[in-house]
Amino acid sequence: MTEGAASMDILETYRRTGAMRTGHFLLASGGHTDRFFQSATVMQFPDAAQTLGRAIAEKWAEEAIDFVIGPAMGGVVLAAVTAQFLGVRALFAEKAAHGESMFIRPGMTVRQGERFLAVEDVVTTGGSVTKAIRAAEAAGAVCVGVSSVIDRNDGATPFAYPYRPLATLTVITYDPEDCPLCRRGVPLEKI
Amino acid sequence: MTPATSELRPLLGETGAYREGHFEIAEGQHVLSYYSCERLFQYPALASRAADALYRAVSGVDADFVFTPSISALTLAFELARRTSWQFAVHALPFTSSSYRFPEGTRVLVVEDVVVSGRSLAHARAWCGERGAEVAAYGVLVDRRPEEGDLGGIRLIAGLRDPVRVFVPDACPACRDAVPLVRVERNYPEGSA
Repeated sequence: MTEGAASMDILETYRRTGAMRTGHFLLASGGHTDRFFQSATVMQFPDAAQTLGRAIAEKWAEEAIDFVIGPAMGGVVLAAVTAQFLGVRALFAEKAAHGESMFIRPGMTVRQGERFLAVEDVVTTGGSVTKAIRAAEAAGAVCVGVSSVIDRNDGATPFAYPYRPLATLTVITYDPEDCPLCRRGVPLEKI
Repeated sequence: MTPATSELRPLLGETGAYREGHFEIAEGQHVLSYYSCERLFQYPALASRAADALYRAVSGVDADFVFTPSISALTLAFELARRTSWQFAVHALPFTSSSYRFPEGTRVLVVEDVVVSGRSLAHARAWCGERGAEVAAYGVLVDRRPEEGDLGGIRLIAGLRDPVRVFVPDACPACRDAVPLVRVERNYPEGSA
């Protein structure tokens, strides 16, 4: 299967579950766009979530992996379903009460030298999955690589680790001063 | 002992998810035993067995959606949703924060790993109600309330009943015996693992 075909399958999963919306959206960055992906919506459907987890697991089947970690919230279910298919532990990292970093609950096991895969639903800057990686590294584990369901970097990796997204999507962002959707008078929705 | 209880007790004990000691679960509230279910849920095969045990108890509930207000119960909620083919959602996902609405007529099974006071469930019920869903039942892995039974008129189904006594420090036997106190749930130090 080519990358393009894989991307089509992922897109179809998003479309089928109502997680890909088309219209006219205001992004947090201030830019406007015509497509918007709500991964949380895909994750509401257990069979769709498992399809994504299996697809990620297949990308790393040749690697020795001890656990999968994802950042809360977007990566928690994804880590669980991916770990199921790899037959390894599933961990998550969450934001600390203070500061910007993430932590792993003391109840979850991370052993010195263990090898892990980090997962996230949508990667743009890779910020939150990187914080999850740092938390696991701080406990002595070694990052084997990163997977996302959707990569919005157009192929450029924001990670210092092998990176295998399921789908790479270019989302066109318009300057609000020069937006064709604005010109056509499509109502703008804040997301 | 119910079948769910006899399945869950060893699972929780062997993974260290159930511990005895001296724990602070909230400011000024001490207990002598504590469940941290992430110790169990991190193992997919064991999480699956725990979900099976609770699933048998909740499968007759007339619901079409599983909802959990907590990250720690997410794996359990997902596994229940998978077995029932119900949809599921979790509190605090970005899209659930403000504009989220449940599909018209949704009946929800609200899932928690551990319930001590029932406040998180009551909060979840209000949250679901504001977004157009009715709570059909609560499904919890471990019910630690002093009294079993319904919660605010809603049926509560528990995999395991283990009532816990909550002490104020002045009356806490572990404080008296100078057992080191373990703070749980809140205020994890930054970067701790």
